[in-house]
Amino acid sequence: MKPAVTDRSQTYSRWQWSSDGKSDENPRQDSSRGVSKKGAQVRPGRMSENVLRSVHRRDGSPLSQYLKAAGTVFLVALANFFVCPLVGVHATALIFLLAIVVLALFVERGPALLAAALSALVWDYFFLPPVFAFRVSHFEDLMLLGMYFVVALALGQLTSRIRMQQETERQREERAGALYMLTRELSEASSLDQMVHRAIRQTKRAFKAEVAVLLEGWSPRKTLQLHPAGSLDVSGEEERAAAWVLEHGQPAGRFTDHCPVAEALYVPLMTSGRMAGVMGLRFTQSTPPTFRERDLLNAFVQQIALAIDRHRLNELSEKSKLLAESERLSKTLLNSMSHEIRTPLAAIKSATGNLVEFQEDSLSQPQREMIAEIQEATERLNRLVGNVLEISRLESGHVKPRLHWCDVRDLVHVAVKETRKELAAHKLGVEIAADLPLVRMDFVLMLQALTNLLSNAAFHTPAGTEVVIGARIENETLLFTVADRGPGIPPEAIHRIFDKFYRAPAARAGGTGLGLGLVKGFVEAQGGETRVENRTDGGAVFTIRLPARQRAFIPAVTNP
Amino acid sequence: MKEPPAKQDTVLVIDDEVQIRRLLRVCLERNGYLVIEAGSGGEGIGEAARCNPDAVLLDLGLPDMDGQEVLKRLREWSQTPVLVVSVRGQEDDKIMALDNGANDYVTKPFSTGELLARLRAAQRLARPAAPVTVFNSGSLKVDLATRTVKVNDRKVRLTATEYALLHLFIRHAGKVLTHGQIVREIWSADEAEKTGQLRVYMAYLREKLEANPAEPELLITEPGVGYRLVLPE
Repeated sequence: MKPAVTDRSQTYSRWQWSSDGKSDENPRQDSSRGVSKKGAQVRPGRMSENVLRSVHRRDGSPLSQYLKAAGTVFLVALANFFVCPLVGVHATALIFLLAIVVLALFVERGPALLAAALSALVWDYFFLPPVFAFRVSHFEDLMLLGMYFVVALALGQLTSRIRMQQETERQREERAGALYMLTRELSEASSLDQMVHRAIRQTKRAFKAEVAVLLEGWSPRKTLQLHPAGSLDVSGEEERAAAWVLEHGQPAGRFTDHCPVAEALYVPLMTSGRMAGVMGLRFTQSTPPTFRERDLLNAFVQQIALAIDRHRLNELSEKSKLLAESERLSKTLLNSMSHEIRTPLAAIKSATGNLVEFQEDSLSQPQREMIAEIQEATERLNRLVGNVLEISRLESGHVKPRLHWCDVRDLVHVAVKETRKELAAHKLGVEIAADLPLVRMDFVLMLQALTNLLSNAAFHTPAGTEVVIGARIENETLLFTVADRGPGIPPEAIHRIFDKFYRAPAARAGGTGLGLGLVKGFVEAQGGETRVENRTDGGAVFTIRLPARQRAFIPAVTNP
Repeated sequence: MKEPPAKQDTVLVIDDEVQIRRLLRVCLERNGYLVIEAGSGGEGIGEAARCNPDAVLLDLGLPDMDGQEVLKRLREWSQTPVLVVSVRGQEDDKIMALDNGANDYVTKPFSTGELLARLRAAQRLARPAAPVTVFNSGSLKVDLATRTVKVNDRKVRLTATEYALLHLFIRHAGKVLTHGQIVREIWSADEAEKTGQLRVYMAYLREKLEANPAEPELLITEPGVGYRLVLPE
């Protein structure tokens, strides 16, 4: 077994088949082979024999043709006995000639030559004086006899050529017909399943072979799935051959260099370098497919691969259309959701605000506390709605970060300002490195990420403990840290704490598990990553890492 | 805070939510405004044309037409201050509204005090005032005639760009300026090209003007939208 050729670039249009020297590129030679499936291996160059055979298939075996030729001569000779006294010896010679001409139109050169020889002998022996002797006394008679052979040869040649052309035509027609049927069937198929069904049926009919189609799947990696419509069982060695085809994009299995022990031949269904699957054929004959068959198989495979590819593309465009539609829908839904929920919230907030403002002097302390409770609950509900909306925006891929050069110090400051109320009971520290450059990021997303981290710290750590937010550059990475002195993260929660809806086992009741999920989503949308670690001396550190490789142009300003 | 303005100002409230309109009416009337309500964009434009309000509160999510469209139509003939009220927290909508000529925005749910402060600031800016030569806000004192900038009565030197930036903020004091608006004004350039420079100059300005540059109180960042110079109350 020779090493298989693995050059994919030129293989999808015309594959390299077995390279044992039998493969040839002369279609004429192959054309003759194409019809002699049952014959023994035919070496190129013996065309006449093949041509003969190609005709025999239609007009009977060689023997019957020879018999036909001999019979004809016998009958003509018999008839000539009766007409000879009426028309003369030389006329009977012409009748023989006529018989040869007619015969040569129907039989091959061999039988025609036999007829010519027999006619010459019979005429010379029985008709030409001296009768019952093989003697030709006149040169004209000799010429006449010679003419028999010339006519037989010339006409035989002519007829066989016509035959051959007819045969070629017929095969071409068959090929075109088969291809036409295939393309029509494929184009009329409405689903991939139907398409494969029809492809298998047509291939079976055209090649008289058992056929299987294996489609390419993607779970979890490149795999082949045998289509149930096939009539060929693919397992063991067969499956290995098919897998090899998928990987190399080259035919394998029987009649090839790779896996020749397999019962079937496996060819890639490939268009412009994209694999759609593998087709397996187990031929009824034991000889390698001829050039013509390979050619047809090539065409079939191309058509099938194209059809599958087209179908997949259609599916893809359908999907993207659907996706756009669902995106539009969910956007509408999000907008109306946020409107419907936030409007009553706004009403509550505004109403309680008015109440406090207008009735400031007449409100009792408990009343004032109640109003404060309402306001706080409203705030919380509003934040929750905001988080739910944001997470669904993230889920549906609507969050598209807008990267701009941002001032890290400013960002941290705004985040601290926005969470000041929540962190009022904590000791908040801010540690920002002095020489921070501008970093490309989405200010609003990062702000939400940081405020969520700070809120998280405020919520899960006891009042009075320290929370420190920091920012620094390390190895071209911008690091934001929020460090607390709370109970820390249980080890089993460390890897899941950023998952949405996940809540650490011992977490304080009341959270939704959305906040950190949002942090992760927002940060990852900008190409960053999130991490949490427990500090050795108590508490946890949440870290956001953002790539900061690029440097902004900083205007050269002299700053006193 | 509770004493009514000298002349009763008219505020047109364009919002499709009856409840919000009712609440705004109570709140505004109590603060001495005359309130006109409109439940749709079309009605709002009609009311604005009819009674020429002193300020407009415009909700962006209207049933009949986009709030942005109402804003554009209003701005075709009216310079009355428009305050956009929106439930959408999306910065794009705010920027678009500001670019379409809105004077400021508040995001629902907002507090009454915040709304009134923004409304007053917007009205003050829209009112043609005697040319101001001296700007005062907290510790900052800027003499526009002599181009002197003082912080806590100590003279501060600004570069030309820094001064141009400060001057721009003073001209629009109390109003949020989008990144795009600032960049177009100062550098006559596209926003994307110069945001980096803008951030740097803002940091420089804060360094020179703010008591604590890490916690600015004069030049406030409006996340995702722009900056605002705080007006003295």
